[in-house]
Amino acid sequence: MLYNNISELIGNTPLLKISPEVHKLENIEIYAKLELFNPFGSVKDRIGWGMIKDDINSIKDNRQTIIESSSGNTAKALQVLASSNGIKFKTVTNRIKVPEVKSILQILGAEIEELPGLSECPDPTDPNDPITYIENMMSVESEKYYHTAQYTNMKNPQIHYDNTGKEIYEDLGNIDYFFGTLGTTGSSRGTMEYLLEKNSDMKKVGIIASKGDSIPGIRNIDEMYEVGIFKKKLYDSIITVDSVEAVEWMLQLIRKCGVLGGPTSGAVFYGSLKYLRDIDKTLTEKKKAVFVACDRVEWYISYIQKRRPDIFDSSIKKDNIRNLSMDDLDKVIKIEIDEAEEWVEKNKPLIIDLRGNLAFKAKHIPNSINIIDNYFEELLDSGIPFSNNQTVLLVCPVGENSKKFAALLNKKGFKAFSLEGGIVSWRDAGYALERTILNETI
Amino acid sequence: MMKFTPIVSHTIKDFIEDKATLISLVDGLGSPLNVIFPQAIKQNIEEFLSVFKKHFINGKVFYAHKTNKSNSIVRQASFENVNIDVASENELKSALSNGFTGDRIEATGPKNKGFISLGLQHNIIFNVDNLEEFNQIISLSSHMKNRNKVKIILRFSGFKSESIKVLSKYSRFGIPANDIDIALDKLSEYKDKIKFLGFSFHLDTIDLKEKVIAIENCIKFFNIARDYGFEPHVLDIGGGFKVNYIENQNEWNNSISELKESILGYKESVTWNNQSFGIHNDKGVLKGALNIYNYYDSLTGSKYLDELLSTKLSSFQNRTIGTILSENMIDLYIEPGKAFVNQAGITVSKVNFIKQSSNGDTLIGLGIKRTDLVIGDQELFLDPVIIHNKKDMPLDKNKGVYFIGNLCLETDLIFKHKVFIDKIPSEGDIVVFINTAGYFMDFNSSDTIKQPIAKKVAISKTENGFKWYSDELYSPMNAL
Repeated sequence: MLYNNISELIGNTPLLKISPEVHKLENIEIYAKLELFNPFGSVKDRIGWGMIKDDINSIKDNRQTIIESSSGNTAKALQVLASSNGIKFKTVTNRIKVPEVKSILQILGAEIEELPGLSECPDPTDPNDPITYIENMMSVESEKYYHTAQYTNMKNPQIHYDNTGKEIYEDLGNIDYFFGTLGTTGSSRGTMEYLLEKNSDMKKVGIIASKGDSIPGIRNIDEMYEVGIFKKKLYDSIITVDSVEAVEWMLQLIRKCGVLGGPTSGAVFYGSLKYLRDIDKTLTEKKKAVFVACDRVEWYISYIQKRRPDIFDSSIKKDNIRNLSMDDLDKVIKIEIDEAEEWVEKNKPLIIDLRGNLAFKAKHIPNSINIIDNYFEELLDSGIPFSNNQTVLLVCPVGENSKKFAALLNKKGFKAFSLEGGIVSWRDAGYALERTILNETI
Repeated sequence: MMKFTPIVSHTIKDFIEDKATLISLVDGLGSPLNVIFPQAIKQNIEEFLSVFKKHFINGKVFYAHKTNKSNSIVRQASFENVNIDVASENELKSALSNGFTGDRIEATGPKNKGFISLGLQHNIIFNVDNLEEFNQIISLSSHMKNRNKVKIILRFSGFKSESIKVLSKYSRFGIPANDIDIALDKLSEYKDKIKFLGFSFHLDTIDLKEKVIAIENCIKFFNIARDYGFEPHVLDIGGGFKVNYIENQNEWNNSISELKESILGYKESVTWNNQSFGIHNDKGVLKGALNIYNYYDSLTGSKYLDELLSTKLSSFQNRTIGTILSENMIDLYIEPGKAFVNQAGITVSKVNFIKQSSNGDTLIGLGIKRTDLVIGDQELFLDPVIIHNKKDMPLDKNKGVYFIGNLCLETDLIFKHKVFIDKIPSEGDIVVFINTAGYFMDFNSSDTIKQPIAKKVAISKTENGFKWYSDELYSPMNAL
């Protein structure tokens, strides 16, 4: 299919029927609106484009910078749309919680300003919120910025009314239950309003994060009050989901349905089931439910790692420094610090310093070489760059790490020793240390 | 209904339940009264030291004396494996007279001549805030014909991140990070007169990221300083490790939701004259940020330090801060305040009277004023424990009361929010404020309108029950 501009790929996303074998409901069909199929990977692509498209020429002509408070998907969409149109974009945020999201934004070229964290002695008169910060910036140089203001911009729900809601209706007809996650609430509100006009009996359910927990892109009930376009009364029910449930059901979506949605998709899927399970048993006729799968899984790796470390535990390799026995460790010959300098003199070992580059550069034992512990671990798997008749002395900060590596080398048939007390003891004993001084060339 | 149930240590719980000692102390010494439990610091210290150990770091804990004026805490600390951070001449005198020797003392904060010269006489560490101060120290030292090399740590601020713009609040403290070369040039002029230990910062934030950036910057400074021929080996990251005051996370979350809903007007007001702590209702939308201390916090004290040291730095081969410090043989100095005195003190007041306000709220008049309990204009979200001595009256638990102070001043409310209790105390009953040793009990206390400043007593738990001493006379050696 031929397109002339990336913005043409926004919207018209697929609607996928979730297999009853996965959701186990008998009378309700569940459909997922796959917003992750948008070109920049999320439902926010629609509003990113929708909020700027009418004014794009004047933004360009006036050389304005688009500014928004977003720590995620809206920033991604706005950044790509801005830069591909030769416009600058800046996002002001109260902290991006997931490092990969920040990395993606940096790859896309976004300018990010993060506001300071809460003071240890908070000042009641300090207006420390991003919206106030943006408003202050704009009042100083109002010409310079174009504030898309996703939280209060009525174009946000309008776009979903005009497109997302209509698309769902055209594919499915009347809907009985609609589930949306509440962030800016624009997407669920606009979509819902359209579907509600078609079927005024439709139940509207909002999904929020439990307090004290975070699910990217979803707010908790307190945070909802900070959103201008949130109206509690619009929803028949509000369901709270925590991050562990969100990740678990995200995995179900990924593994059983092939939908590579992020934690938010998992949260809304789980929230739907939480709401529908009991209702399903009371039904005598078929009903249809739709939820929105907002974005993709890839940029939440560390978020998932934190909550489900079990997924990432690779099968334990035969030998590594984490599965040594006490016996292996006890067998390591430790070179006592009192005799260390003399021992080195006599045995002329290959001295391997396992510390980081900066530490090695600052101070090291003369004639030692630097192989950082994590690289060394990889080398031990792939191929060791010295022979096994070579005596090796391993050095680390206090003699803990070096003992483990020596044990592992010995198991593999090498002659490795560990410096007791590490570089700290060597320094304290007053033995010679060197510093690397490089010729700083251009 | 808002509830802020405080965490109370076993020792303090036992002491309060014991009643008799507490009542006789307040009767004998007057209201308000500060009660210190100096032995509580032992566990707090132990927790920090175990984090150092876990990361193979050579670390030192400095008690930030400014947290509390109490003698007994300093005296107890002087017998423990800790050092002390003093911020004034009188704090230095307090440290010295309670048993700290000069080698265990570090001076921080703004310094005058008296403070500097006494510090030089005891050869303490100077955490230098600016180069003008450095000049003063050097000049006083040479006038005094000081034969010791002056121990110097340089304090910096205004760190920049290379990868991302993180805004920090402007600080009134420290040398601008951009001036590192100017500072080291200056130090180089006096190489024979000083012993340059290393770098420090203290950021007024509880945010890890800003601290990580500062540490990242400082680690680079070590390398720069070596080019100047110095051998710095200390990184002082200041305090700000936080304390968790509240037992239950859900209770805290729900109560804060109620507070916000009340400010938005969805619920009946729960604050005095609709005080709103930095947020306001703008056409149904909540604007601004709720500027209150997070009395519930799951990452505090030694856990916060552990998290900081476990943070990986991408600019240093993704090694953790702990590993980097350990392998670079950099000693870590920390200056905990609140976290150091966690569960080491309570503040006690008598009930003077009960009355109704002009709009029908119940007001409980106490023998204590707001400034005897809070620092600056911060609001304390911690429910007091009430000891009912005399007859009490049941109260609808959804009604709530205000606690008011003993000043003849409209704004002297102990809390500007309602406290929901189920029994109204009567005159002579006792109200206990929990965990007040860290910056609350005496930072702002005064004898305005000649209302008394709280006296302090130190309590030690012995096999034969609780024993009390005047704060000045307490020593862990008393028990021998």
